[in-house]
Amino acid sequence: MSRYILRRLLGLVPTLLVIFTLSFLLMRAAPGGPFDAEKPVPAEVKRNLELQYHLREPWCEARFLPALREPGLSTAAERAIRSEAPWSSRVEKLCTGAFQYGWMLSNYVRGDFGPSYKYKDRSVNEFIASGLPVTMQLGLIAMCFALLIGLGAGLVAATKQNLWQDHASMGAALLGISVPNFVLGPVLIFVFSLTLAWLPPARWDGWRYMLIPGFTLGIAYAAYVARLTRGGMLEVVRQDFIRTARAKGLSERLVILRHAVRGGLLPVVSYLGPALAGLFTGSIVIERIFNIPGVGRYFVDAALNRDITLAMAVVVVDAVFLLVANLVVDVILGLLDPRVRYE
Amino acid sequence: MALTKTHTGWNARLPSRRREGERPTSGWWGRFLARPAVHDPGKLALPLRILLAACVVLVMACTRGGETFGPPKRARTGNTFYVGGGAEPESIDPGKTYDAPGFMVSRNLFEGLMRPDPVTLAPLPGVASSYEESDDGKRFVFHLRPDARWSDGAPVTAHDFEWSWKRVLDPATAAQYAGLLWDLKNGKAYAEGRAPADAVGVRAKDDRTLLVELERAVPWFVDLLTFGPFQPVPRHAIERHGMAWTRPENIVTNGPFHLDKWVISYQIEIAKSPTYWGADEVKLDRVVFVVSDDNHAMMRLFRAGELDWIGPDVRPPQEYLEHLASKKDFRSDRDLATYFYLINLRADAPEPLRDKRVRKALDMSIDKEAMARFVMKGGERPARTLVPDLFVEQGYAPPPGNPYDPEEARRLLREAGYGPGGKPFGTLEVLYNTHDAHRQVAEALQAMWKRELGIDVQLVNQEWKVFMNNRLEGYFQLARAGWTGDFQDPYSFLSMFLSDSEQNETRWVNEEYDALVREALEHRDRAERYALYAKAEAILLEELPMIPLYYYAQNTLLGSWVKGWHPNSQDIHPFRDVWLENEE
Amino acid sequence: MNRDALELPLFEAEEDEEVAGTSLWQDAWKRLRKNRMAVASAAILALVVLFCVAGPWVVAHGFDEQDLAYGARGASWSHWFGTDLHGRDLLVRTMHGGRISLLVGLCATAVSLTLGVAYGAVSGYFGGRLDTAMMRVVDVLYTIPFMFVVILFLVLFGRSLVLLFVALGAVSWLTMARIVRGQVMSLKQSEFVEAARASGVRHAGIIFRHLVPNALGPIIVYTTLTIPRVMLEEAFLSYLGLGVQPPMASWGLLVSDGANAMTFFPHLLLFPGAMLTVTLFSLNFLGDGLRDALDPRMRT
Repeated sequence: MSRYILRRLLGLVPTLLVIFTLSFLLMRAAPGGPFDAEKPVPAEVKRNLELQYHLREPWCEARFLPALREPGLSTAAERAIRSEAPWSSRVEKLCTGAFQYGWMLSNYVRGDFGPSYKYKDRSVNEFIASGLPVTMQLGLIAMCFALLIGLGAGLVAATKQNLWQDHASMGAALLGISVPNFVLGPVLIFVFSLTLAWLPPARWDGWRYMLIPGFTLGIAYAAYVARLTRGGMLEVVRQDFIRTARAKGLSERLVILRHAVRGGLLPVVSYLGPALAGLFTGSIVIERIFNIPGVGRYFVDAALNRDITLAMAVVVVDAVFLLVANLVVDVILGLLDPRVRYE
Repeated sequence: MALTKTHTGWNARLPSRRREGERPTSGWWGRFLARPAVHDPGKLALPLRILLAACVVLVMACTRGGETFGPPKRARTGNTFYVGGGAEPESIDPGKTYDAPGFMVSRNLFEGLMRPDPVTLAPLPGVASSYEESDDGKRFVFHLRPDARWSDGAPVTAHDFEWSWKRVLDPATAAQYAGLLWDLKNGKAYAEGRAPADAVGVRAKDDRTLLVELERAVPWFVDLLTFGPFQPVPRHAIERHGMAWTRPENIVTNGPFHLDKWVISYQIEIAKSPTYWGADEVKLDRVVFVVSDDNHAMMRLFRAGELDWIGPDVRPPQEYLEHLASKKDFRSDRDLATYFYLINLRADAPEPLRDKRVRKALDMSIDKEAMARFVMKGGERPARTLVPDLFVEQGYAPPPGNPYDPEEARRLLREAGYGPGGKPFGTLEVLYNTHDAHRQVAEALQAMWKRELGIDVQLVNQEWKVFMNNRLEGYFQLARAGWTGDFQDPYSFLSMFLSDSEQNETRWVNEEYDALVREALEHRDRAERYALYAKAEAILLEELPMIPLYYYAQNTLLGSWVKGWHPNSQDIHPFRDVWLENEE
Repeated sequence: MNRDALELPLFEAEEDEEVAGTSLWQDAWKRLRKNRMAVASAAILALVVLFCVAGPWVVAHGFDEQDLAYGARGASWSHWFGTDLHGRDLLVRTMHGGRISLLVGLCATAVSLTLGVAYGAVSGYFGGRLDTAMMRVVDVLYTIPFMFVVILFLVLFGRSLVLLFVALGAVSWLTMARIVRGQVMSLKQSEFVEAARASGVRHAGIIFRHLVPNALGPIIVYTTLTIPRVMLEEAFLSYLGLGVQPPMASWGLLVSDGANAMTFFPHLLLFPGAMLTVTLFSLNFLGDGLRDALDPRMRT
């Protein structure tokens, strides 16, 4: 087992590298930069900031486009120089890009995500440090809702197969998958907050604020969990050892709770991986609707504000999180399910 | 299994569902009819029933009346004021701030030589307890009060002011509002690197006395002293922490509040400062700025009682305004701001726009009344001039501007050679920053120009930063703009279109206009100044580098328990003077 | 003994209720028809498509007719779904929104289908190292949080409809590739493949004319389940303002506008939201039904 874990951990590296490179390429290809200020910034100041962000690399400039080295060049002048020598300009850009890639990669490996493009006196680490715990809290609550409601509904459906409880549960589950969370969220806000005034409509200031967002985020996954639990339990219930248990005289309740549920749990556990991925993605919209200061909202704001370093960091952090979570889920699955054996 | 004979042979037949005496039916429809009438009634009825119940609740919940939009009495307890802060401020450094949310926070953390009166916005003694002005209006002496302190206990001295003002002018600081300090003697020269810092007309005679000398008399100079760039910043903190000096753990302030906590993009908390000289007059314990750029979410928060005031940067969306008009906690006041569209007149501008008649046609085919009433719906007034209507009460006689006359507009268009049978006009591109209100205005303009002039308009929207950059660089044909007066004089608006103004993104040049506006500054008598402004504005409205649309209204929601809050034209409400009436 | 009685009956296929040799498809079709909820879902879907495609010609109002003075009002006799904030009839806008949403769903699914089938079929057919490499790529791509990348893409490179199709299609082709690969791998040893190879059919022909059609079952099921997922993702992106742009409407955009205005005008949220939910529900149900109908396990 430990060799398997090690192998998986090593396998993380190329995957993360690919994700990092992809995000980096997107960032470089994108138009616009951090200094699209409202009022023009003096050329020297702009230059210094660009050097700081490694958007400019003196070595590359000196080698491929020395005309850029002149101090005090305005943006228009720079653009003119570049358009006069398009090939040199492209090579120089590639060179600068390569340097920036190396610099950012070495930073990322050390856990430093660099400065934010938009909030120039803040580092991306601060955003992640303050937003990630919030998103994880939200995800945890959503997962609790998902598991409690889902397991419960799946259990009921499986034990009362083909009766009205089964159809009702599965119908509700399908409904849960079909109602988008950005439809459900506002509806719940409307009913429970604006009309009944039982719960607050937004923000994240206490446990009461967590209920509607957690439920909204978790309900789709509750639906999947319910279906999987039911399916898994039904599959188990058909098997011989259940018949044996019943023949031994075990009460139906014990049969279900001790044996059948385990069968239902396995597909749920293996679903946890994709569920976490979905929770992260879903949190983008939920955090937006409910004004929750988590990384999902930071990501959307960063994307819309062209704060590329922050957006990149969120993507990479999310990927790391998911890969590790998948690994943990697989290990747990290996422990729970005797049929799964890892080399 | 029965065997039946067919023309090809024997074939086995499944027992048919048909029984003796039943209606002979076959096929799909028959099977549908033949199914047993009684099926499991609860099969899917339960989810449907729940759904139905939910729908009933929803429908019942669809109406909620009441005298107030928010709760009638304060839902929270405690002496903390919750206000909507708008978007995340880019900076709360008073010298560098340029966005409204940043100003709202820094205004309460720092105090300049003067502070604004909450009712009239007239300058009241702040850090300076008194001042003297020379007869020619070019020299001032400010006497600082002895008990003005920084939050770390150090006294606020005239040297702080001298250093802070020069810092704003310093090109390395890249302060957005440095232009306001160009009126200081050699201020502009220093900012452009042509003069040393020592030559700037601000000098600390001693710890308690500040001498100020201006290039020319500016009638509203003392008013400006309440404003951000003129506020002092702690040299010792900045030199120690650099860009990070505005963090809660590093910041040092001299105002009625000090910065306590800052969760990025979520909320900013400030607490009453014990070192402030007027601490006795500050009644609030804390203020929480709820940061969000989602106006609808802020409205919902206010409705649920989470906010005491939705804040000056949160405008209730237009669609609500009709419903809100009758609510007791809704306020609508006139704002010193104009909404207009810039027309690009640079060398690479599209040909039709370079013809003055075309621009006039565009202006005259907009039904601004309808737009103000049905698109904005918030008490905005239709605008024919750049300078807001508030100045009219102070004696400004604006030129009439262009009326709404689609016939005349079409005639002008034909005269310019466009219109039916004329030269092709091409598609006009309208640029605006992503926001519901701007989109609705743009869509309305699109519809109006299409209907009246047959011109096709393409709408392009971009995020604020990208949009501003494109406007600055001139990548637009028509672009949306809005401007709030920084001080109570039409110059604040007219100066935008001076040929050397940085804000003149249209690059419109008119020497007569420049001359008139500059000459107006020479006159200290308001009536004379206003007369010259009116002449200049007449030129502006004739040449039309911009199309005025409406004057802003300040629509806001304020809990009835908030006291000490007064409406004024610049929507400045110092929290030092505000208090809450809790439900005790 | 009567010789007729000893004659073995000939079994031939006839149209009516005689036992004839049934193919996989007929079996599945029968099973599907028996599943009443699936049939009902299909009917609802057909109604929805009719509503969206043919509806605008029936309704008197135009999709873009603004009446700013009228503003947003609830359901009434002249406006069955009410009007939106610009005075536009919500019924027509919902229909147009449906057209766009369904179009995006179908096109993006088509992209996903093409990509996934081609990739999976090639990978499964050739096997060996190529297969391992291709599947490793899929594994790596699986771990990328696609929605984030799509959002970045749309923000940075503009919001065109074509880009939307491609981006959404790119998100869901991976599972299709895996499914097709699995099917192809289990089918490629069959005799008909050998026969085709023996008669000189080239690789491409074998893959696309013999293997893929025989793997159609799971492909169809997965396609039917991809459409609602893609529609949901499009609505999600439109909700964030990154999908379909005004003046075009999609259900996601209508829901987004409605969610904002729900404090006073809940009908703006409820009608498009309900349409979206009903469509997704029906699609999911139909997909489930198809899966039950085509699933070989049920035959035992």
